[in-house]
Amino acid sequence: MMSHAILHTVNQSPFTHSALEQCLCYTQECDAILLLENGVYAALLTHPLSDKLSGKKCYAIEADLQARGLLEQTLASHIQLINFTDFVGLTTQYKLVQSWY
Amino acid sequence: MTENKKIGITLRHAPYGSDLAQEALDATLAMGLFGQQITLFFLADGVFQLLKSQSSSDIHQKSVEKQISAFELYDIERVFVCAQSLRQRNIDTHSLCIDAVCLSAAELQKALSTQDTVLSF
Amino acid sequence: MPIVINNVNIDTDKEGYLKNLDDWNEGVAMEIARQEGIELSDKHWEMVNLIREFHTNFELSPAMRPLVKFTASKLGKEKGNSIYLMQLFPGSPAKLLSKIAGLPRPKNCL
Repeated sequence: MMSHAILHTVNQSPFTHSALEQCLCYTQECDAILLLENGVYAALLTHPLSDKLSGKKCYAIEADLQARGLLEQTLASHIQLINFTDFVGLTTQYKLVQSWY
Repeated sequence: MTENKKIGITLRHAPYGSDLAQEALDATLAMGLFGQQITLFFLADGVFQLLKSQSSSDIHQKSVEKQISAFELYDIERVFVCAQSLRQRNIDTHSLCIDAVCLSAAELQKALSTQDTVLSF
Repeated sequence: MPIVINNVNIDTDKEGYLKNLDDWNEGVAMEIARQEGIELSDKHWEMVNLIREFHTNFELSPAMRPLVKFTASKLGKEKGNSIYLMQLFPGSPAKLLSKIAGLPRPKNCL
């Protein structure tokens, strides 16, 4: 377990909502960001916060991307696609989970 | 719950527009009564919960300000507020209804990471 | 038990707390107290008024600890302690006092 790292989950689109922007303000080096539900629109190559997000460790739920037709789009290469079992694994790896919604 | 667990509560939403502020208050006061070490983090629009002069009876809701004013009686003593969020909204600390400690985003992140658990409202 | 004052029924929940805070008056308080086996003395009234002040200030029905702290700050330590409150309102003072004062049932109060 990573002693002081936080897993931040974001479930809102960066195009309509400030959840990701707020999340990025309070994220430090060792933390990770997990995109789910409408949060997966932030996995697109370009969006208002793509530059800031590119420096972060970042995961996205593949089923949420697939459901929205986003697997056919150009995605940011550093974002790791995961399934729900991986998601559960991540929540046990990190000491804390902060949800941005 | 084990004794003296460090519980961080993040509050990011403005009061009254949803139930989140009231739910956060209910959880805070309950856990305070059960002897948990509570630290509150008012971030983003959550800082609006701390404004003075709220008067919500005409919209038939309990005053968030009045309930926050009871924190001391419920042994809730660690209240942090994000300096940047206040600045973005042009809110002076004198406009806040309780003494909250102003911290930078980095300081807040650090304080958050030392909690045993975090509840996000 | 229903409360009837001057042939007017006053709505209470199944634990006997008033449904509408505005229905409260001193007669209602005395009737609820009587049903709980308490005759209200000046000392009781002092506490009834104090817990109503708490509710006006904070929009909360206090649990025991905040009630004790608030009482100590307003009336001093001789009254701001659980023994004093237990003597006046035996069993669960915060709940009993809230009921008599016409306030909602305190949350999270054992």
